[in-house]
Amino acid sequence: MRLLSFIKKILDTVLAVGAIVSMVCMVVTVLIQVFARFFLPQAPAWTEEASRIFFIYITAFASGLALERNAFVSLGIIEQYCRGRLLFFVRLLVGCVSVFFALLISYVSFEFVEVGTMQNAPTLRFLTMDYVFISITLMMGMVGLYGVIDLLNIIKSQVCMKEKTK
Amino acid sequence: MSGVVLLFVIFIVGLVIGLPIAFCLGLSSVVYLIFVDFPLVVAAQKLYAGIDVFVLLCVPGFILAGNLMNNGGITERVIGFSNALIGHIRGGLGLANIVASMIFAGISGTAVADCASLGAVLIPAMKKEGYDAPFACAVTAASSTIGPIIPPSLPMIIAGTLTGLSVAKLFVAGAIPGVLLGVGFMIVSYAISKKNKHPKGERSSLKLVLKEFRGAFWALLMTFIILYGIVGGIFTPTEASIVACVYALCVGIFIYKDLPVRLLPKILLDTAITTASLMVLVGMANLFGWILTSERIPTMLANEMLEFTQNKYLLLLLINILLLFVGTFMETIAALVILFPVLLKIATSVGVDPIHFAIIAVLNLMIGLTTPPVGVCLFVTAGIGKISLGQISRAIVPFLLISLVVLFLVTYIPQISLFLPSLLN
Repeated sequence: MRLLSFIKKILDTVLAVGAIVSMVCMVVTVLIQVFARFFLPQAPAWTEEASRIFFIYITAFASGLALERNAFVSLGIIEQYCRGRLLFFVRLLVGCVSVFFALLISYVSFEFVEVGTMQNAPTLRFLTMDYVFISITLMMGMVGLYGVIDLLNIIKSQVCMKEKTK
Repeated sequence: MSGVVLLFVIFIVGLVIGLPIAFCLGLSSVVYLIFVDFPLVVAAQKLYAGIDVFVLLCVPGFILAGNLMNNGGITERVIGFSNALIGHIRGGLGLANIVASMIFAGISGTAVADCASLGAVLIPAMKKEGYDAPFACAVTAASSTIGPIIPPSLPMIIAGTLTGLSVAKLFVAGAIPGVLLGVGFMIVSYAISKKNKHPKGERSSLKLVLKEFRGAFWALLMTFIILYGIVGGIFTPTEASIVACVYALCVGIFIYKDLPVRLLPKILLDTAITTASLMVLVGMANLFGWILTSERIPTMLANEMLEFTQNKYLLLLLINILLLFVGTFMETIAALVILFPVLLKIATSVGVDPIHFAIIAVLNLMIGLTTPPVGVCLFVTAGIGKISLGQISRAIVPFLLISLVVLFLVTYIPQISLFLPSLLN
């Protein structure tokens, strides 16, 4: 368990750093675009594409952390009326479905990534699109992974509650 | 069972059991794709295509600018200036609350963030001055809904992205309805304060007003830069949002000197997380919307509604009722991504201008944020003011009524929304 929480801490840090770096890069790239338009004879064509890629990577790095912080909105009508074991099963069901869905999209996105190996970015010619498309694999993969961690926490808290009532 | 029925059944079941709305959209779409034997890779493609839109970069841009300003000591300065300006009128702090919300609206673009940051300072201050807590909470909750109407506005960025409407025009179109809503709230607030004999502050000297203005000047200038930049064609909305970030950073660190540099990583991460939660939703909505379009659902719905009535005014009334109902229990952006493209098709088929309709839709969903029993802003302010949901639900009624009056005016007098965008042409 200690090893697991250590790995999770590292993962949290890597994703947070990735999201922050992507955010800073996006801001800097758009600023270059604004600066070039005002002060240079010609604005570079690559800035728009680069800023979009950084933007997608912000989402890719931060989506797992968003799941952990409950940032994805839900209605949860049934959850409001459930108590005890029933609530546990509803949460378990929602968690399992979320994990299954996220990992499924992450898996099928490999085919999308493969398509990207045959394409170059329109303005960043050195970049093949698989490096961009893999952001979707990362995004949904991390949502799936954090979903598994969330599931483990739900089960753990239920076991703890059972032990307390005993 | 047809694929479309399966799509909606899974979507609704997912919503009811508490699956995040983004996953409801995605899961139902994936099941549909399996059912009609379509390659699943299209799900990843559409998810990517939904996010790969330049104008969506406004979302982290404006959220970051708002977070930087909030952490950089702007809240107290904006409140101080508003209070110096109109605090001497009866119920002045309530009016200052509304003015502060209107100024804040020009910076952040989200209602719940405005509600939390202004409410944390103003609700305790109003209680201390002798205002009753339910009124203090209600005026804060109601005025925070002005945020996404006055530009910049996150819901309008999303609406523009989903339907290809000009975000710059949408921003400008929201200005007059936003001011109208603010003035309406001020009239109601003043009337309640007069009836309940709420306190009034001392008239501020011109010197104090000028001093407070100097404090709030940089916040006001930010609104001006964003609006002038977009309307004047100097920046695209995305560029304006990033310029606003740099501006907020400089003001917070070098002018207000209230923004600690050590807080920056946390602010950036918070922004990234909010952005991610919204973008997964937008990406999944793109997939869901693609299926709806390929099944011609919006056209069919539009035809059905047009068969029921071709009266533009009756149709707008029906759409308003639907959006008000949905807005009470569904998050604004989620409701927008699910309903806006479909309803836009219906509205435009009876000759409603798309920009006008976008303002109507956003205004409806904003009203939903303060509609009992599940309006998010009610929860936020009731929590700060330590009152029950029942108390704030009663206190919010006069503000809700004035919101409905403004909604009525905006719906049936298109010039309120379309006058400023027409100048852009």
